[in-house]
Amino acid sequence: MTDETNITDANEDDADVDVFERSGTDVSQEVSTRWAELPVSSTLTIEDADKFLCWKDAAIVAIVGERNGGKTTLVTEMYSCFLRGSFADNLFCHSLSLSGFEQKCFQSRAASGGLHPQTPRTSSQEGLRFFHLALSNEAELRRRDLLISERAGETYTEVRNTPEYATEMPELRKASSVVFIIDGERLANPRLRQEAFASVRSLLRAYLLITKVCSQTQIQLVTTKYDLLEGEGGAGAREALETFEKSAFGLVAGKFDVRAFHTAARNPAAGSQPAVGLAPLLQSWLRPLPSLSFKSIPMPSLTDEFDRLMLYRGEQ
Amino acid sequence: MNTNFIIMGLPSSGKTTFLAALWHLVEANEVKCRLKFESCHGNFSYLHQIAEAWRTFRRVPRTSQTGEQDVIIELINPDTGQKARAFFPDLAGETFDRQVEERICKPAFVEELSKNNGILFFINADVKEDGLSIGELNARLPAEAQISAISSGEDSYKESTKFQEWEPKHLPAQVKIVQLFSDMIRPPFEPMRRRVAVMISAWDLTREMQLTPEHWLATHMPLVSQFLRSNHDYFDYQIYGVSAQGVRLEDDQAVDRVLHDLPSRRIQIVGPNEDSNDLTEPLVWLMSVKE
Repeated sequence: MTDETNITDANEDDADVDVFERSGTDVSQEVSTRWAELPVSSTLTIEDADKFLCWKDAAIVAIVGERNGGKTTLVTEMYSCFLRGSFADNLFCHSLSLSGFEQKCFQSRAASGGLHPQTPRTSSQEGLRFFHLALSNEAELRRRDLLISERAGETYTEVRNTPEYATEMPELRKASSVVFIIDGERLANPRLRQEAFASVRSLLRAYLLITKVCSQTQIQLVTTKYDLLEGEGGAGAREALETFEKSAFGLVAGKFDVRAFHTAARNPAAGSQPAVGLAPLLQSWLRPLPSLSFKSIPMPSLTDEFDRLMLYRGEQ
Repeated sequence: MNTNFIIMGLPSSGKTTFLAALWHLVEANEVKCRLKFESCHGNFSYLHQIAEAWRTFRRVPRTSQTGEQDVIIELINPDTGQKARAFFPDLAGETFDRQVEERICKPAFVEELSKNNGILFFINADVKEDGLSIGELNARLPAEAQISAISSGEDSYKESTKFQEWEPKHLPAQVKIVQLFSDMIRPPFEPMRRRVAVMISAWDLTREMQLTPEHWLATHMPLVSQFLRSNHDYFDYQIYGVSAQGVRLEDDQAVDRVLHDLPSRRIQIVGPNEDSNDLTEPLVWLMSVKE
């Protein structure tokens, strides 16, 4: 970007003006109204995320699930915890998407004028976006960056119907953590429960389709709105969930590290704690990835002199 | 040696009141200060205007009302003989609001920040709970008034859920402040380790809390506190509590009580060292930090 494109005229208009007739005062006023543009702080586009990854290493977290499962709320409530203090043994360090977080949080704030907290629906027209959150662990102030995917649930419904679409989702290929959302609200309803499980099963199978080799990616089954499954009334749902989790573990056993989390990001009941179960989930996203051994990469067929350099791999 | 300072802060964060009190302090020479007034050049009408309001217990006019003014005060450290030309571009708080909300800023400001000048960053201690969640608000209401999403019927739930559209102006103050700090570590600003004196203004309002300025920031602006702690590579900072006005102007009895004392004694500053009336202390710290 050149200096010229960096500068905008806040009062720009398209009217024809003969600059030679303008007084010195006009010119000086125009200069004083010039402003330098700053990068926007909404959610990151794929291009923004690529640029960021050229600058800094970041763990990519893909949040996968159909609409109304609580994907966005899960992430924005994690962010909101840092507005109240440190969280999950980490300090807030930086975010390139502060306004993006705030826009999604606003309907959960008293300032919005709402009586019940909500999260605005993510539109499929927005495509793939990312929240950026950099955290420093409290003990050593070591920074770790997260790029957390934000995509409309309708897109995942399409993946359910046509699993090959998953190959076109870069966040799934590059994620170090893939979070499959199990909608607790649907589990609480016996008529919707099995469909909720079927949704996660289909998306999990679609993911396995695009990752045929073992990888360092961790698979996470995250049940949202778990507060709706508590108490005696939820016993059946909890039992069914446990059975489903076991079967899902079996589906990916030996290929991925897999864990289940039960969360209640925003429990509307009076006096309830926010962000229940979110701390261990966030900490799992921040885990350092085991470094890839160069030797573990399969040796390709050597066809020219430069390929011979591969023979020296790992010897330095 | 010329030392320039940049004053930053959202609207009504106490920037101009600080300048007015600082000008009186060094010009009147009533109490012991680390820096003393050395000489004056140029037009002092703006400083006289704001200092007059400060001395006569009137509200100091906001920069947006008087027009932005660059202020230059020549100071000397009598202990070391070190001279300093303190240049304060007094930007209106609205300029910083626009930086956060419209994502634009003045190129001259970018240039000033690239010179690694010391920064006086003002935060008003009179914070609003602008980040309060609906859940937190409901929890504070009496039980009968609490709105439970569980007990509400679906229809009444929909009727009662009318939200304002989000606009950047709705960002909570602590998020705006973190955005301003975050901007300094990305282009077009030149990333470097900057010296920042965080000035928590209207400090007299916090007296009953019995908190140090550092604890106040961690309690009332936790996002800012975390950001500064975890960005030590970019910011070398000290936190001060400042009461430049000294009294609540609406409290006639309090004003009457201080009328017969030296105006400079109204000023209070709480820093890492002892409490004093010396507003030049953060300036001395900013000048002393090695690059």
